[in-house]
Amino acid sequence: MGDCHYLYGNVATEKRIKFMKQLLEFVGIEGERLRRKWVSSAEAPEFVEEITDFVNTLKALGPSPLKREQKPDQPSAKVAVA
Amino acid sequence: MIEKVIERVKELLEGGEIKGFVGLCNKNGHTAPYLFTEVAELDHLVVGDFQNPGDARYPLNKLLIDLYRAYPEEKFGVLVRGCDERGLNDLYVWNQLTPKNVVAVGIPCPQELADACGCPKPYPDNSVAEPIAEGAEAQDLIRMEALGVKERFTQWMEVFSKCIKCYGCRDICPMCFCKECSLELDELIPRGEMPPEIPIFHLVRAVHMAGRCIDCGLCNEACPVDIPLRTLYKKVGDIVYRKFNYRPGFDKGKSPLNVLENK
Ligand code: SF4
Ligand code: SF4
Repeated sequence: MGDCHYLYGNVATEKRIKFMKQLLEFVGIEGERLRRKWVSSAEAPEFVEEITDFVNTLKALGPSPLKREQKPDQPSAKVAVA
Repeated sequence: MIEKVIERVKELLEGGEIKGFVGLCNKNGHTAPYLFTEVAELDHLVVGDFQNPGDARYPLNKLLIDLYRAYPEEKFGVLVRGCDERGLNDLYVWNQLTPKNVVAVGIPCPQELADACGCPKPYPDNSVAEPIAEGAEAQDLIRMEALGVKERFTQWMEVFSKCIKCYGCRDICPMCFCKECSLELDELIPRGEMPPEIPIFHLVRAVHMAGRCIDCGLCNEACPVDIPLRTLYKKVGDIVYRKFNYRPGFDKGKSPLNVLENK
């Protein structure tokens, strides 16, 4: 933390994501649809692993309640990667 | 109560301590915000309790900000309830007002109003009278939290879908002081598009009220389609308090969400 190209960018992001997950839950959108992980641009395998894991989570959750007409194998996702 | 308020304002005006007093004026059967500058006008000063307490409430602090921007050297008085005083405290934090330019004349709210608001502190510290009510629990929030996630989604989407994008909630909010507003940013909320995309419109505003909303409920009262905005913003306040231990208007210093430091 704090080791960010944009100075305090990741600190601010961490706080906002914490807040946002809870707010989403409150309006009825599962907090797991929003995920924040730190991956450096030099860590391709980690990035792939994270995204794969996220996609699996989303698949398990099923389609987003916000997307009504939706193909079952393309869950909508709100992704935040910093 | 009103006699005590008038007495105090009279003192402030006569003593030359304030240039004017931002309060509520009742004339010809109408009540509206008014800048009192003469003692003779004070006969028309009211606190806004008619059939029920708190019948007429206005974002007087918002008018005070305009006055401050126009007359930065002058000192003005303002009528405050508990929530308005929280607003003042937070507006000082945000440098929208300075304490040396403001004299708060406070009134405590009765229990009936405190309960209806679920107000944590229905009395200001700078008050013409002692507190007459205790802090109340936010029943609406407790009810909403007891529901399952799916049920909450259905209920919120149903009420959000009524939104006519009138911007009343923003315009009345005493804590909305930005000169440029994200709710008018084309990338987020395309201009001219009706009805607004939901829940984005409401969530954008909710996020921006994090660490700023002082829970006055004026947005809720102003909404022409009765969206329970106060419940939404109570949750916003609740998250900020639980996660960051900060309550706007109570705690000194900036909201942790706005502190740009490594902490
Ligand atoms: S309750 Fe509504 S009007 Fe009052 S400060 Fe919060 S968002 Fe603004
Ligand atoms: S006051 Fe109500 S209808 Fe108007 S923009 Fe706000 S939420 Fe929508």
